[in-house]
Amino acid sequence: MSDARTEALRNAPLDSWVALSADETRVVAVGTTYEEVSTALDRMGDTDSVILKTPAAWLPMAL
Amino acid sequence: MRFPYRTAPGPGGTTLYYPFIPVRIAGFSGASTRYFEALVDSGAADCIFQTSLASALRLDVQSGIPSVRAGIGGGSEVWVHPITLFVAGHVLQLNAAFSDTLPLAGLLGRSGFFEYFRITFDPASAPPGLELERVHKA
Repeated sequence: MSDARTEALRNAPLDSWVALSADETRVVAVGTTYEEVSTALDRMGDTDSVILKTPAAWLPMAL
Repeated sequence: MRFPYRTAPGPGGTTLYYPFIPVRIAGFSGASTRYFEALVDSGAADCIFQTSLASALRLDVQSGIPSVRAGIGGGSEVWVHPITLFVAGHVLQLNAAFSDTLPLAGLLGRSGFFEYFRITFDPASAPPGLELERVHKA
């Protein structure tokens, strides 16, 4: 599952909001804002996906 | 409750592990977000969320208390609001900062989060993970 999640995120747009399927293997919605992704999930009747924000680059994070 | 670390891409096709956990937040109106991933960050003084989440809370971010947070990239303007945090079956009331420049959805820091849990980071196990145990102070 972790490899599929990593690959799904690697192929997702950067600096965006994305929703991952409940099994974390697929990106099911993408948007430039949280609201866009949440609205897309509403339209799909999806209540299980979890939302995250992708960074501008996939570098090791030190905040 | 144990949460396996979540994976994220790293440079050169590598995979990195981070202590992201699913949370939900609500504002004064009662409106709340869906579940999103927030980073458990012992280095953060308090909890910080991306301003994009504020739309779900019907929150006018800049009506909050203005402040500044320092990070590795320098200082960042934030606005502080009272919120409700839903995490691991617990409901917490706290003041959280909202930032336009936070590069992820949320950070769970010491004030408002770590003060309510005994948190064990276990990066050596397979899979790596963290354990949250709610503590109630007298």
